[in-house]
Amino acid sequence: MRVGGASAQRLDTVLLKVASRCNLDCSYCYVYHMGDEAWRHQPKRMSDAVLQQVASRLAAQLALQSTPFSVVLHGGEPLLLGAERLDRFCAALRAALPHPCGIHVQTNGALLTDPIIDVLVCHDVGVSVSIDGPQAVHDRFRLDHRGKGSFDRVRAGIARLTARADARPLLAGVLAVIDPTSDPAEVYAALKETGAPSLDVLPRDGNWDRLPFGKSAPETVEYGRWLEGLLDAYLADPEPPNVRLLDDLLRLLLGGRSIKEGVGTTDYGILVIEPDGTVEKNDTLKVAGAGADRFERRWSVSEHGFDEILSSPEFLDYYRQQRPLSSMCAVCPDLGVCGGGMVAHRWSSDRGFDNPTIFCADQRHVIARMRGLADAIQSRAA
Amino acid sequence: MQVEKVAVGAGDEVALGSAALERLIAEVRTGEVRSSAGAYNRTYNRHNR
Repeated sequence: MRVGGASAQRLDTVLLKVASRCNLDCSYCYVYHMGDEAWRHQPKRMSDAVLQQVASRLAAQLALQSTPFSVVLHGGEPLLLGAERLDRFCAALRAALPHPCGIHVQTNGALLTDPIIDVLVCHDVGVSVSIDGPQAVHDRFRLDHRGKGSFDRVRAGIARLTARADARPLLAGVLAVIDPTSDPAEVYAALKETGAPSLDVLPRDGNWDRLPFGKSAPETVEYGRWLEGLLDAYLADPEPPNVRLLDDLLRLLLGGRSIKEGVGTTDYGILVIEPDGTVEKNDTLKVAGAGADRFERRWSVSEHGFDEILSSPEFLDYYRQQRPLSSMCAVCPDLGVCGGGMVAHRWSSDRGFDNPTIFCADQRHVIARMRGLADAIQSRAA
Repeated sequence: MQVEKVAVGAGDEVALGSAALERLIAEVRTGEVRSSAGAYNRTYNRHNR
């Protein structure tokens, strides 16, 4: 996407890291347990002064590009801000970014108290909660700093949100990290039971040097089989919520479009703002090694406008990086659907990002199943 | 590289008539992606995390 005839790109999604710490200590977390220690050097929470600069820079960018974008309060755990500071932050952001700009929070849900929910309602902040499925699946990895499972607290937080008529519409979705040894039908049922209108799933992080949990070799399809099981549960459900990943893949196979990064071949302008105001690349790139999510030049909201950042050669290199480099991807008939997967999952130390995603076999496995269904639908309609 | 697809079998009749697929087909036909929450109709969050 381009703004006017200039080389600047548009913002689609801004991750606002309002807290660099987390009240949980999930063993698979890409922020704390993938070798990047940058969080240690960040303030624990974003200050009001930095937030005001952020809001001002985002308002200027909105005026410039006209196309609305989304801001996601992220962390760490963003609700560690507490209700009062969260209220100030959301008020400033909403003043800078009126509807239809989206303000969201991606939370582990354990701190969804009524005072926090009041703030979210007041500023119309959409909520996505990370929960991995039924208690046994969730509590295997999503632990607190004392090693205790967080399921009961997370589920109670979601229940507080959905019990309130004013807050229930804010629950946009729940997000699960896949344990490929779990039963996908059980996970689907547990996520649906939260009452969220949309479910999404993520594979465990990894790359060609460091295989994801549960994947025994690049060519094996543990995640592909798990996703196929999730698809079966989804398609058998007479009253299904949306399933973001599966919907994106299916829509592309049916001739439509996708809406999230890492699927299809649409590129998105995603930036991260750290608690000290530093602007960085997509934080998921941490999976490729410490510092892989940083620009060489230090961009900061205190000194730079987004138009300057978005039109810089370094940003354009980062933006183009979404397109896969691999010659295997270039000739793959599934490229238009999988898009080469997440950039972070393409990494190897000897070839950089010049690889298919480490989940290539898994994605092709589930796409093959979906393609059969899509072809059958289209031949019946003909 | 070849297109791979799994042939649809007798057990896939349920899948082909599923509510989820009907919804997606309607979305593709109209070119719209429906909002996932009633009062939450706004720009999508693209981030995959």
